[in-house]
Amino acid sequence: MKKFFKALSVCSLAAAMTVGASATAFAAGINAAEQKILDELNTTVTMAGTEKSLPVVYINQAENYLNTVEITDAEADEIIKRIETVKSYLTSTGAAKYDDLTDAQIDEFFALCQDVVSVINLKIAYNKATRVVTIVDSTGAVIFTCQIGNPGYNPGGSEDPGKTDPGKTDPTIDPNPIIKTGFDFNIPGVTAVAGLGILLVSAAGVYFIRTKKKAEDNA
Amino acid sequence: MSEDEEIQGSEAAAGSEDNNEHEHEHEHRHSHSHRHKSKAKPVLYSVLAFFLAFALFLLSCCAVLHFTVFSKDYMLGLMRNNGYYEMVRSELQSGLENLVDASGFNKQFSEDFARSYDIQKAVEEYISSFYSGDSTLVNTVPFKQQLYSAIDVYIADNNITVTDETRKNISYFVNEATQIYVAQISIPFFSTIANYIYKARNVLNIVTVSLGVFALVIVAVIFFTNSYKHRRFRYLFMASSGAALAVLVLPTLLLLSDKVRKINLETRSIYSLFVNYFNTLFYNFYIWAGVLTVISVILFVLYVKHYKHVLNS
Amino acid sequence: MHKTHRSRKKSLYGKDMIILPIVFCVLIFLICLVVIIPSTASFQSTASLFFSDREKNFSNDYVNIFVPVEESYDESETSAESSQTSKAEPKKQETVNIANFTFPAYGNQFGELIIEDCQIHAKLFFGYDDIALRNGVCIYSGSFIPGYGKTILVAGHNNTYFNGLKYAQKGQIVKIRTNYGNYKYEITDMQIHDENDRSAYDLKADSENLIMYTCYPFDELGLTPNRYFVYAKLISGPVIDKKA
Repeated sequence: MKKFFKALSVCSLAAAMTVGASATAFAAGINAAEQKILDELNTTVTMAGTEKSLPVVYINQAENYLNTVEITDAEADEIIKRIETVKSYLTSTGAAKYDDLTDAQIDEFFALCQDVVSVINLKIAYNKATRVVTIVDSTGAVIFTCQIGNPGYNPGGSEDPGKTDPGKTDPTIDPNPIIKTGFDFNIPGVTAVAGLGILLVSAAGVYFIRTKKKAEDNA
Repeated sequence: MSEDEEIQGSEAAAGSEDNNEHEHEHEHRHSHSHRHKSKAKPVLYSVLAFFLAFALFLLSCCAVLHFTVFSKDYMLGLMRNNGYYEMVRSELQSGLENLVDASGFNKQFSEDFARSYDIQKAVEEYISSFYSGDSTLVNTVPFKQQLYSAIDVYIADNNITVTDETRKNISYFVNEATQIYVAQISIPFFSTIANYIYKARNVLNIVTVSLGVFALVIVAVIFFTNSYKHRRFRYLFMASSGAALAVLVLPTLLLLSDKVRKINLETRSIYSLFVNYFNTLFYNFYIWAGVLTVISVILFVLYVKHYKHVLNS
Repeated sequence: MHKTHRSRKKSLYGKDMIILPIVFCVLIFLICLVVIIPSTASFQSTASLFFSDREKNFSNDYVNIFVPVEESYDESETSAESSQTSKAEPKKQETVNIANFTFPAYGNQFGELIIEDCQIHAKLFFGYDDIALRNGVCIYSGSFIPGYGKTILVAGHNNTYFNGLKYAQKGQIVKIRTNYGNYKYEITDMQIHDENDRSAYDLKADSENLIMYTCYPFDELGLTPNRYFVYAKLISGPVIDKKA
């Protein structure tokens, strides 16, 4: 259960990951500014003495997105600065995982995340009841959605999972990119807001981070 | 000289129903104390009229909410009249076809599962449970039964050997199909909103009654503390026309913002439902603005009639 | 007398009869602004998520950016021959600058995938999407496009476009034609894995490798928990120069 989403640090990274999507479109390649964002995505955040990092599938998706958009140096710097603020905040909370955060801390965290995404005119919403985070761009397209604390989040699942098949969740595994070759047709009931076509990471479901012990890093 | 002072002056000059009182007033009209009183009174009544206008505005909002957001029939009526069920049927059909593409059945297999009548029944059950405060869960039993029956027929028709593994796979298929069904029947955020709205219903009733009593008290104060009838109607007219204006402006601003059309919902059925939902909600505000306008016109006519009466007498 | 008469008219249709209702209306909205709106700030924040800059398009069409480029690989090569040539390095290391073609966005059709030996000829989309899966096969957006030098993870229906994967054999050639170049891969392996088996693919790989998968067993009734993976390695095709 260590992998079971230790923190929301990722949300700030998610925000950064999606920055490309709403910036100037159709600019191919990774420029220096975008590379800085990717580098930032590869950094870790310390929470309760543990380093957390982003799953590779999300960084890959970020890279693909950044290949389609243009981010300026100033935007990238601002985004990175704000991500660092979010990371500092998370570290300062002393929480080791999402469930350790108080309601007020969660609110503050998402307010900070909104600051990050607002640099390039994105909006972030968090549904406390379902723990679903959604980021949309200015056209309303969902560019990121995840369910915190549930790596097995099924974007095609029902609004009331307890009523039907509850069990496709496995909190101990990485986001699974393998679909039913014909399954991801449905919107998640909780994030019906637009743009399934460009769901950045929802196909895999949830966004969670792997824990690396500091000792391992040092080794 | 203020408008109201002018009115009072003109009324004094023209005479009134209460001649003695007026004469008395006329004698002291230039005294400092009387001037102070003549300014304070209209201000006080204007403030009362404002509170009445605010109360009427809020009452109108409560009434609109009562007949729309808090009304099951409103929602169901919209669904019936705007082809919602047919759209859901089409989307469900499409979703099931996709699933069939991944599951070894032939294309025709999914054709009969999405029937408008069944969908209407399921949606109405779902909506009704919402308005009755029950948990807003979609009843999947009939759909599952229908699916299992169809699969049994398909297996028999195609002479397919069914192993334990096949049963498991079929069960997997049915569960996934059911999830698509649930996603189509349910309305996003409904279970969350349902909880709030159900709780808010009693609050709305209390607020409506309180506002009604408050408005009546103000009307009574304006009515019984003004010796001139025309003045009563004048302040009441101001209040009702102010409220009418506010009720008119609210939906107009929202419609002019053009937000509704840009509501960002995933499926065509949900989009269409909510665009109609909000547009009809706004039209309800216009209806109440119309009601208040009619009341205002009546009050204005009464005001003019009584004022002329005062002048003539 | 004249003055009094004017006053009467003014009082009957006085300015306050018009101005005060307007003032009331403005005050009502000001109060709402000050009292109600701050208390619903969180609701507004959520609600704003539901609105975009334009009306939503519910079209079932997809964006097609695929314009075939001239064949660059040797059409005369057969499966067997290619198997031999594959052991050598690509004849000529072509490159294509990323700035010179439209990078596919999610849901775009940007190419086609052909395995002649398996009778597969499908449109190739970027990103898993129901419309895309209905019309062809899809590259997972957490993997990469051909020529990028990393893992390409492709999914397709086992009832439709990837049904032919059941005929996959080592040495068969997979052709991918895109809007920026044509690629050839050689099938190296076929494996069956559970859908949750992470060892079936490596999305961190630094070398180009094509992985195609579909549900397994083929033609089985219902949904299955197993997946049929077909692995292929790059034989030829332009390398994407990623410098913007």
